Amino acid sequence: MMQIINSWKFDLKSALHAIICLVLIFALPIMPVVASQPAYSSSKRPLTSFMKEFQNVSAEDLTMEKFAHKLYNNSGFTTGETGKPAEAGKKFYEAYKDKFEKLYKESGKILAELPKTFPPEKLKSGKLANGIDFRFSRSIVRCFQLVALYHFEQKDFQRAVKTLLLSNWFAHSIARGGGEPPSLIDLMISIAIRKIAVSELLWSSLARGEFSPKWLAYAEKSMAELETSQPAFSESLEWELTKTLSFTKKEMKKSNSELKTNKLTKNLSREKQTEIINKSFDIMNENHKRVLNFCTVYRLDPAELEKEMNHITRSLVDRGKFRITKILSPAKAVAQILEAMTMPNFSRAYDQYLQVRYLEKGTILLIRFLTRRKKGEPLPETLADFEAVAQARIPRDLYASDKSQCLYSVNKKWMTIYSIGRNRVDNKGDQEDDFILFKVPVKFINQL
Amino acid sequence: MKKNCINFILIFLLSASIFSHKALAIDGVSVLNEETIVAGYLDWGYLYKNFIDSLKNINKPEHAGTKSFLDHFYKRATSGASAKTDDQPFENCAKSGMILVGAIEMYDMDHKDRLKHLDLETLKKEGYIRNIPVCPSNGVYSYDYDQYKIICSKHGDVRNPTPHDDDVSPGSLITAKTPAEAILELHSRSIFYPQGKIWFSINNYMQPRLILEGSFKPVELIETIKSLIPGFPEAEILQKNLVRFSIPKTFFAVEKLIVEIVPGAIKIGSDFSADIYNKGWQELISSAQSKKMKLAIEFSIDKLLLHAKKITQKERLDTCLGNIRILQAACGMFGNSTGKVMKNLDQDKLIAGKCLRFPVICPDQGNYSISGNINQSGVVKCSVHGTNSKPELGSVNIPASDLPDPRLKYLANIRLLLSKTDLAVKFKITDSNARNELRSKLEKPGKDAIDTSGIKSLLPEPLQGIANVEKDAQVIEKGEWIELFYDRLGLDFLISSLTGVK
Repeated sequence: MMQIINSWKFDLKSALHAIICLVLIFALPIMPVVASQPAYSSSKRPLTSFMKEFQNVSAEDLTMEKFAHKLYNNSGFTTGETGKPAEAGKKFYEAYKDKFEKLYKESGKILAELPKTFPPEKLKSGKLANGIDFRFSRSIVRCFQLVALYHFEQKDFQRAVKTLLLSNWFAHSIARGGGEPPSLIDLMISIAIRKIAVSELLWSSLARGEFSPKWLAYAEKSMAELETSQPAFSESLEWELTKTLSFTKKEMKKSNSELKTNKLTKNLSREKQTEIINKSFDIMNENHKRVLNFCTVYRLDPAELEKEMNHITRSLVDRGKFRITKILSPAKAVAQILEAMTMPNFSRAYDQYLQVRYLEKGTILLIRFLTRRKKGEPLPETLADFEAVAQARIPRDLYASDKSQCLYSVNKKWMTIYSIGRNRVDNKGDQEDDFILFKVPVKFINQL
Repeated sequence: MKKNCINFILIFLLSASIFSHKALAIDGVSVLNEETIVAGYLDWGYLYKNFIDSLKNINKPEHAGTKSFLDHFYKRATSGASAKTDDQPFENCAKSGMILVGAIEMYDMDHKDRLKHLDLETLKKEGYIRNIPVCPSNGVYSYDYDQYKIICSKHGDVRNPTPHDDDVSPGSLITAKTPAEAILELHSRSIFYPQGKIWFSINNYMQPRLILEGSFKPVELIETIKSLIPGFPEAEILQKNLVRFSIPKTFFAVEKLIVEIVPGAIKIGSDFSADIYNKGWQELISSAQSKKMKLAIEFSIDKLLLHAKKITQKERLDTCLGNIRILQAACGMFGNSTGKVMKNLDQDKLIAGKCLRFPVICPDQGNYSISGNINQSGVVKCSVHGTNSKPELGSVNIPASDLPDPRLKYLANIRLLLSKTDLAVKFKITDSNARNELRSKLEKPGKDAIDTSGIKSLLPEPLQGIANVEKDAQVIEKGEWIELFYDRLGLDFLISSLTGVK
């Protein structure tokens, strides 16, 4: 009996032991996976730029981006205590120090080259490539911003500037597709990232940095090349429309497409269906050309462009509605319905595009100013004074009714150049309501 | 059994006419206007009479179908009136009451002084509630200012409601009376008595218009519906004959419905006078004088083509004026960037100067030119559409090749006339060659016959195989009209075919 009991005890002990082992066997490999799961979505197209090195950043580390939110709407944060965001930047930098240091070493080479575009034949293939992970792309740049803030706090301005310029470069690489034709969403993400990268932290770092003229000239060249070579808005829009059109056409020609399963059209012959599809795409193509023409001729007049786009959107909605007369011209009806679904009202997107171009142009102006300003020289009082020092023209304000130059303002706290922005009201360089070219704390410039 | 089938149709038409379309209009003035493309009538007085006759004998086996359909419709209507079929009335009352609690909270947050009494009109006017919530058992809500409570006179505090004797669960509403009895009672009180026709029309935008001929007493009708169907959407009488039902979204997917109820019978001829737009419809209107005719539908193809032409004209003008604006802006850009004035419009130059991306073409083949100094007050004009300040409509001629079938150009009208015993489908064809072609195709069956399979496939399944053009139809030519006459396909036959009841 005792033997039986002993053997049972032994069995129980063994069983418990086995269960614990099993739990450990299963749990141990799982736990680190959860903790270090890469933040970049595996279902998305991998990045092609230098940022692919950071694709394995863990989801947990990426949550540090939340500290970057504290910097928004906090104008002047570079002049006070940087607190927790800088601490988060330090943590992130130290977690990926090797990668950052390697990146800084290669930054000269990266910034000297233009980001990769895409082969033109891919545009009309009708294949929609998987997109990149937008959420990751935005979040990683926020983390980069925190790292730059940490360097700024450590007075390592060169590293701070490099981090932000690389972020800006990464944003440009998204807008240019990185091997695949980009969509309008790619452009919008690129704009969102550039707004993070090109902001007060970059301007303050440049002003405090006491960089050599040679280094500043290099930074100016890098930014200017990216700025001037970037696709025009109408180009990005053309890519979007062509891609959508090619993809839709391909889908419509499939045997199980909506058009073919439609009760009214399923009895049409294959030739008739193809004829309708082809005709409708010709109509859409013509309309797209008209939209792109508007985009081209009003590129310097966003107010007119907005008016035209609103008009087009309204008429698309109206034309997309069902009417009995549509049965007389099925090709036109198909085109109108598809257009109502696929044509975006991009006038707001164009405003964003101009806003970020102003940021880049402004930063180039600031670099020119910092390069050419003599030590101890008083701050320029007028726009003309500024132009004389920077040896550059301040761009026209496309939102001003008379298309006069952007406005220059200097007070005890800030030196600012700005456009009155889409509300067309002079809000004295307000970061929210005006479109800023640059806005730099005066105290940093006076330190020079 | 045929009466059963007639009843199905009547119930369907009644429900469809009241609930089916947001844009439903019963205007009592005219069912026809400039925009009308399809119009017709249905002798619902005849259908109603048969319906009432069958209700009087509802328990007889031959009326089982009518009974079952009526019960089903009744249950659907009553359950639809509740937010959720499973909920009991006191639970639905609580939901309605909680809407008021939330609305008052919002009101108090927005205003300096708290709301003292339950002022539903103020809450609605200021946008805190969209519709006035109702208790499904007709309880009345009040507000306890001190306790922040909404109290229903039947279910108490809405946060903790209790059932009431007046509650009738959805789905088991038919207690005292059957739907048949209720309708018969309604009939006996003469508050709803269809007589004559339902006139209907559809315009190019698929908006239906209806006129119901009959005798109605709107106030009594609403009261009766409310008593028959507890929780039926609240109705308010806006004007003498204008009633608004506040219908929950779940109920036939419409939010609000305004129905104009026309008292008294409409006399044909007074409403359909010699209005210019109605001229084309006179024959249809005249056919209604015959008591024999039960259903008529007319599709005016020539009006459809006229609408298509007008819309195309407007669209093309809009496109061309857009083109003119593009060219004007491009010329302006050219002037700014080169310092030169473009005297003759040269689109290639504009494209080369990056002032234009693609060449622009007038949709009516007009030519664009510059008038005056384009860098100052000059304008771009189109030889067809004029200028932006003085636009002109082009003369659009829709080519026959653009139509789904080029012969559509000669087809002016399609008319369907259905009596109890026969059916006539008429085509008005303005071109004699096209008419002869159609006639010979209709008269010569075989491989040259018209392929009607496409049209047939759109019909309800039971109707798809019943008509055989070459075998059953008699082809008659009268002036510009070609008529297909079927002497057995009357209303009674079609209803039997649709419902399967012989």
